[in-house]
Amino acid sequence: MPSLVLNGFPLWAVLSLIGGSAILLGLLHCLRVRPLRVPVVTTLFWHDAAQQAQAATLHKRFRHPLTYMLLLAICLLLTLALGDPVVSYDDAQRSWNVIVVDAGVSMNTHVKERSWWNEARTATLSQIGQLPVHSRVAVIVCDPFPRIALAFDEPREWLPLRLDAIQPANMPADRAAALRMADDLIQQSASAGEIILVSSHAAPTRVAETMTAQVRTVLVGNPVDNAAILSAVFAGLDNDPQRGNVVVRLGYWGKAARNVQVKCRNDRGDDLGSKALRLSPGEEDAVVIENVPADGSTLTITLDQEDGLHLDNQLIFQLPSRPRRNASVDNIRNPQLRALLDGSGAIRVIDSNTTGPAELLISDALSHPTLPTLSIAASGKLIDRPHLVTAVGNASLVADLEFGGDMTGIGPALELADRDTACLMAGEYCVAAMNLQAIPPYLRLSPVLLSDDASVRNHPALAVFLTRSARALAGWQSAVVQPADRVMSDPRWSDRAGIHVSASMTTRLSSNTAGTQDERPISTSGKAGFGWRWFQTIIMLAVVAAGVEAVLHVRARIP
Amino acid sequence: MSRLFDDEFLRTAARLRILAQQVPPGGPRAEQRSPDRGTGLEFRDFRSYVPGDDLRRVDWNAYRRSGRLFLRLFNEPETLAVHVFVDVSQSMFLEAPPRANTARQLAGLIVAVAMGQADRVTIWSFGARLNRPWIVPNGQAGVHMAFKYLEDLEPLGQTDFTAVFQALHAYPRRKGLVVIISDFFDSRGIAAIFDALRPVQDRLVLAQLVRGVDADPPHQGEVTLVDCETQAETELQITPDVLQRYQANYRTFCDTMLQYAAQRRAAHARIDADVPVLTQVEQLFTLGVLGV
Repeated sequence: MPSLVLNGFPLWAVLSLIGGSAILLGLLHCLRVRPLRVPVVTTLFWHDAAQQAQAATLHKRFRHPLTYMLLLAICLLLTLALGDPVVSYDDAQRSWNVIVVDAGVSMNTHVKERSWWNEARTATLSQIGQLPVHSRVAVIVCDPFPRIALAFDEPREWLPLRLDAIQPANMPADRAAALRMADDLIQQSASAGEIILVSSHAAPTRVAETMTAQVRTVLVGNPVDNAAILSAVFAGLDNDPQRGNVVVRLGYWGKAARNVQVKCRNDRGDDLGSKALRLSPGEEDAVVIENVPADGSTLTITLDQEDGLHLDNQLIFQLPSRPRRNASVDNIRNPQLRALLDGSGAIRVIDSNTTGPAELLISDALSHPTLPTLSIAASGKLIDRPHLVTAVGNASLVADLEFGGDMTGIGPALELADRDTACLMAGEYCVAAMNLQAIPPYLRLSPVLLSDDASVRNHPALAVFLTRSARALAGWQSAVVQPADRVMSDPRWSDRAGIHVSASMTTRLSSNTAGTQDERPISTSGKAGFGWRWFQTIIMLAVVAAGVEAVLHVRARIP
Repeated sequence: MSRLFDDEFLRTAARLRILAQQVPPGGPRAEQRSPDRGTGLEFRDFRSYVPGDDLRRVDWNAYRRSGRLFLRLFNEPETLAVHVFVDVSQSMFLEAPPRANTARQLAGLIVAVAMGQADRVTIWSFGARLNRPWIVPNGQAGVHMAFKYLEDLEPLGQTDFTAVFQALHAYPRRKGLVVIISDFFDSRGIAAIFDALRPVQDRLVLAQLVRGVDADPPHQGEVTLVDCETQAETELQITPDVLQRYQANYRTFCDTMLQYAAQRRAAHARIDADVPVLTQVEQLFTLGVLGV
């Protein structure tokens, strides 16, 4: 059962206080209604007049008790208002709801000067209004970079202003990622919950079926027969980091299944191929454009036929540029390491005879160079000295991730996965490590700690580590960190190994959204307060009651 | 000179007169006309001679003309018995200044006027009972003694006209003029007052002492009114409605007094206790004469 708390005092204490006040008020009221004794020369004429005007109405007969009740009501109302009543609920008694509002390109559709985004905004606020006051609700804005617009512990009143600051993107929304993020949020509550998708299209069946929470769709706009390019991402080849595949994710919403064909051209006009998919309504799938050079050129990816919404039929994608980086290995004393680095396709070892500046300094001692450094400990000791970490953001989600985990270099070392491997932690390397995590996991890094120990030198993981590290560094350097329309999101975001969206992170995430800058710390004691409007209402009632009492007094109806 | 009666008072009294149309016989010679056919200087009528009459009163001219003997009758000036009843009940002393002051001043004026015309004046103070009468001695000194007597009057309980005028019968007195100076607030009601006055055969003057607050009381809200004479308490909430009813009752009371005075052919005056008495004497003494 919910419990009522008044300004920190339990209900029984407040009731006792009110009872005591009632007694005191009663005594004062008795003194007040005690009539004034006035000696007069005669009561002849008064006596008859009083008899004629005997209390003929119920109000006159009970005017004294009514006056007392009025005073008591005023006292109660003032106590209630000043007590700032709060109804406390246990978290287990609440329902947890996440509203995912579509802010993708399709929401730019206008019908009679009103956009689908306006309808989605209105529908979102309406859904929130229908939820019980004590329920928890969060809102995720779903565009290419799903993010939290309202956290569970923030007041609902902030949402309209935050939604006002959001404009639909010019790219399709990553609804699957947003739904998985919403599911994550609800899972943290360990209570029953519901995900409400406000969109022009139903939730992807494949995704909705994997949710632990129930997904309900609120459709806005008039669905049209529409195929869309949802996302594109470059995946480098394992054996040649300078080439890779472009994975293009497509979606289709319509009345009946149809073929969706994708064409790809580079900025020189060369046709890089076309692929086709047959999609059912609500289905999403991917096509792969293979063996594309990572030369920094621009790809234009288009769908082959017009449909109800053409804004999402074309995507401009810039390929990463991954030239071999000049790396100085002068500070590496380990000959095998030098050899391995020399054989890496991602870097070019330079020495005094090689022209060109060193873009990478590779040493086997800790250092703090201005350029990204791959540091390898040679002492055999774990590097446990914390370093400051600089976030190099690409996706906003990366920027929001917490930099206090073991993978980021601050804190204790991870336990060894096996006897010869450990997590390497060092200065700028952590930045690279972060970015490796930010890139889809097909570039997963296996951290390796090298030491002078002979048993480690020939460890087969060393080569892999070096190769992948170098490539990751190069890839990090050349990855396009551009305005949002150049960076694609990958539906495989959901497979973020070891990174859970926790309640504390949702707070941090929301702080990075384009909000109204009016956020302020609020307690998380589980309150579902009455709010300012209740205080105003109660004070208004008390003022009205006092006014009624004053008018009756002036009109001599009451003492 | 006393605090209630000053030189102006006596000068005013000297200008006033009480003129009775008919003085009951039996009084000493004074200025009032009496039906007694005495030997005064003012011829009034003839009557036939009967043996024993004074031959000096025979009108010989009439005998010469008629051959019959007639006696001349003249107006004989005699004294008027003036009985001044002064209400000294508790209600007359409640307020500030008390109505008793006005009553005493009015009584003093009546006494001074009557004594100035050699009438006989008796002061009767009453309240719950009738005090022993006090006869004003003759002469100017008597007037001052009357003033002193009036000033020394003390409150005498609640008003009881019935008991007072019943007790009056026990006192032998010469009929004449009865002046009642009172607020007439008898707890038994005005009808009881009229019943008590029925046996009084004298010429009547009713001087009703009033105040502005009688007609327009200042009380409001929840009050307990305590009758200063009976100590009876009346709890009531004075609303505009109740106030209107009170004022109607008071007007009825005053109108009833007027009607009774008209019925009894008595002189009636409403003397305001908040206004100097001397400025209100015209209510009784029209052109300086109180005709009774």
